[in-house]
Amino acid sequence: MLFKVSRFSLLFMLLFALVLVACSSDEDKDDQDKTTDTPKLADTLVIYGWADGIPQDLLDAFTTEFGVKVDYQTFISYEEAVENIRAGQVYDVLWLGNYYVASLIQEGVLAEYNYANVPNAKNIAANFRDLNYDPGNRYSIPYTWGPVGLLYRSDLIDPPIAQWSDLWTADIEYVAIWEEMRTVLGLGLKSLGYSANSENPEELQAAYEHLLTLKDKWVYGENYDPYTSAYALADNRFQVAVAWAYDSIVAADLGDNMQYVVPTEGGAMLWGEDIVIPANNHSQYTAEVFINYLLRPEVSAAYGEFLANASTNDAAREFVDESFLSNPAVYPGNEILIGSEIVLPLSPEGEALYIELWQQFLDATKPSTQLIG
Amino acid sequence: MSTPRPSPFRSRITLKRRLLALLASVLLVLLILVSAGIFVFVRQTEHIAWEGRQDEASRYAQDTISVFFREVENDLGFASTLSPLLFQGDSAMSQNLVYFPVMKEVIYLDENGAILGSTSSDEPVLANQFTIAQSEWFNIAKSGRRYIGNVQVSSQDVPYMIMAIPTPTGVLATRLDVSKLWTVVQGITFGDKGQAYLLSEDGTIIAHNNLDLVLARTRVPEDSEINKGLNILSVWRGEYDNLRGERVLGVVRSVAGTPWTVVTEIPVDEARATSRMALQLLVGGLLAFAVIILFAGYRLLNQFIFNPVNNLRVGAQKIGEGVLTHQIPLSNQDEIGQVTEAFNTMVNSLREREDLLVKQSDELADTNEKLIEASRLKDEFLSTMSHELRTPLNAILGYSGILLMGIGGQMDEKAQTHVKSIERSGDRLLKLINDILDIAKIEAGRMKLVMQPTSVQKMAKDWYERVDVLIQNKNLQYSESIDPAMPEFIMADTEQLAHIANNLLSNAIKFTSEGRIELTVKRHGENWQLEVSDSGVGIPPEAQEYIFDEFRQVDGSYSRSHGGTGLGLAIVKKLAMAMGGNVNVTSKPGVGSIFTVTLPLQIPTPNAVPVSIEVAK
Repeated sequence: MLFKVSRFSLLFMLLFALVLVACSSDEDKDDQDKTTDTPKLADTLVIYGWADGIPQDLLDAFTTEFGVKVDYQTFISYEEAVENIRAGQVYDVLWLGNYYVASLIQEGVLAEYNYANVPNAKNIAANFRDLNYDPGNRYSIPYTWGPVGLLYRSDLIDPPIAQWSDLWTADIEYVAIWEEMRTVLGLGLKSLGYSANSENPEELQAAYEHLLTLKDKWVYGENYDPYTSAYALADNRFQVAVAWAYDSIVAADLGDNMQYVVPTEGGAMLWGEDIVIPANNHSQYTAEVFINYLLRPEVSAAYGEFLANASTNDAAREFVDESFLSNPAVYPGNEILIGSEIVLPLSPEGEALYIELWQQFLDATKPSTQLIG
Repeated sequence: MSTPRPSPFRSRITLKRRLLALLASVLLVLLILVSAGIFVFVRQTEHIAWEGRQDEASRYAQDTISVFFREVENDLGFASTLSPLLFQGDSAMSQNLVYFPVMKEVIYLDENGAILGSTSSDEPVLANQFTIAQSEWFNIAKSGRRYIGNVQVSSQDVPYMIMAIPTPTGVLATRLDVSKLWTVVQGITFGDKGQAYLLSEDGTIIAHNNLDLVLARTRVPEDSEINKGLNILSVWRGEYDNLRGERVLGVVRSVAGTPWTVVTEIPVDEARATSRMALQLLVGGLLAFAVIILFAGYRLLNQFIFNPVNNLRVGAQKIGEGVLTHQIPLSNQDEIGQVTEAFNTMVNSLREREDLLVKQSDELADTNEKLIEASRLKDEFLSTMSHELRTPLNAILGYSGILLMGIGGQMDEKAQTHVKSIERSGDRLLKLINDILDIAKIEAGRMKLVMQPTSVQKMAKDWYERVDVLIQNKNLQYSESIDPAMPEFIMADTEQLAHIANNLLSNAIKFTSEGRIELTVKRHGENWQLEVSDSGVGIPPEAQEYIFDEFRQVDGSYSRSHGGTGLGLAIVKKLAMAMGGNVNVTSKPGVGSIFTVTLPLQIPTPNAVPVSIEVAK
């Protein structure tokens, strides 16, 4: 009797248990299911940047700390990089001139940042936040910036060069430029007092023609090693060169006969370099972790020092060597900054116009120019 | 008994199990229905209650934030009426920021982005910006729209938000202290885990209990349901998975007068906690209740129905096995109890009847024994008597014969007459005794028939010769006919057939005073017939029924007026039947009678030998 009774009660105990489990499992499921699944780091990170664009020990330190190998690939110019991105090549991290960011955003080839993985983004100075080419910094993080200036043989040129327009008046034989459309056309515009971001066809045409008047003086810089025009300048291959902060530092070491100046005509021309993550990447999470690493104050400082570039990282200031902070080539003072102008992206029509003029400029200047040095 | 007793398990599959299963299913259905019904009701009520609470919280949130925002707008509006010159340098206006407690910094710009004047209560941010001309906030405000930025956090972890409005002279921008806004939003709670957060126009979180979400500039994912409520005029309510992956009930409401949206959420678990607990309690309680009922039901069924029924079954089995002394124990006086009582009574009366039957059977056996003994005694008597009776009779007949032959002296006529009388009586007595013994022999089953191939013609001749004298004496005509279809030889017991024929012929002669007597032997299909017809007095119809009975004569009496023993026809019948045949009579009083004996015809085989057959009784 007892045995048979328990058979029935067994059945009911089972039912009871089932119901209870069903009810309570609702809660359990919610709790454990939704704990954030930490993504995994990839084995290798593919970085696309300038040759010698980043100190190797920074990359090694990253590999040591995170166990991610770095595959550093180089481009010669932003144009080459953009071409490859548009062609669908896969990279995880890319250094890109800020004026290319807008069009790539529009083309949808950039990935949107997940700032949950880049908390160090708060270190970016207010100057570089929420700029109109990428409102809210959804796709790009400005990393370095600086002025574009001129490095010249102060012993050979007198009076000293102060503005872009001085290039037309000074007694110079050759001026070194690089194949950078915006820089060259920009200085042309500024020499006439226009904005380097102007899309006015008349202004552009005027700038183009103004540049052409120096056709015989333009020479193109090469892939020097180290990558600076200072040595060539010291060798008198040319007397003036469009130069950046790094060049001025090397020049200072070489001697006293070279001078660096940031023309403020039409507002000092500032360049900005951003870090972006291509939409075609192996692992966005790994890229973000790397970028977060780069945004550490000391890392940003080390990077800036290596390239003699100003960092957008506010918190890095205390780690940057005093000599840099006081070097106007690296960290220009307010007199230069106020009214300065960052080279920014153009509208598609404006871009087309620039490209057209630039191509004509190249055709006009490159074949006839002998590469000296 | 030959039928195996069913195992106890199998026998319980039927009624008891079915009843219990039925009870269990009914209880289960009830349980489910009741639980479901109450659960649904509780959940609905719960839902309505939470909706109300949430709505309230959402509206409160909206109001509070809206107030905050309006304050800022008013301040900005007022500031825009002031001259920027008031804000140049270290002027007294810097202290005026006290009147705008939410604003930490105010900056006036011309249309090119050049700073006309600014003031700040802490380290200036906007005023130090050299990228103003490229800033989104400047460009939006310059285009004539109001700009409200998302929350930014400085490298010192100070949160701020930039707001810019167009002015006649250019742009007026301010850096807002969002901690006040955050305090407002974080203070909106309801229930245990209900909370609110603020979304900007593009779905970025600008205020939240979880600061990490704000710092990470988290945006509402495109596929999130919250988007349905962004930037719409009405209120959106729904159940969805929030940014932390929790399942929540949310109310999304635009904050009037601002480009912001406030979301109030309560985890579904909390909102449904009551109904879930109710369900668990209900189910648990009802299950326990059901188990108890089943238990009790089982016990009661057993006690009042199944055990008594089982006792009845056992009792019935025992009767089947023949045990009639078994009494079923009586538990109570209910219906089954009454059946039990009736059952017991039945068993008792069955037993009594059987006892009676046994007794009767014994008595019958006794009687039977006695009868057998009596029959045996009768036979013994008859056979003894036959011998005892015959012996003196032979003496009587013998001596009568001797006397009539004149041995011992010639008798006078009178004496001869008397001795002839004696002889006649003796003859009759002898015949009677023979007849009686014959009958007794036949009845005792000791008649043996000796079947042998016999000539029909010879038999008929013999029969005639035996009664020849009697026929002559009475001047009767005698004819004999034998059917040509009769075979020449048949298997027959000559002696017994002679007996039959003799009896019939004697009777015919006896009861015919004048006329003829015919003997016919004819074939009748598979049988053959011996027929004796006479033209005698005939037999009345009523007498035809009993003339074949023992000792009965035509007049129904047992008298001897016509002589004879009254056994003749009885013997004929018995012999005929013993041979597998029968006898019958057709008669008309005054005309005559025909006696027909029908017997099976057996044609002897070429090598037939006499066969002795015991006549079955």
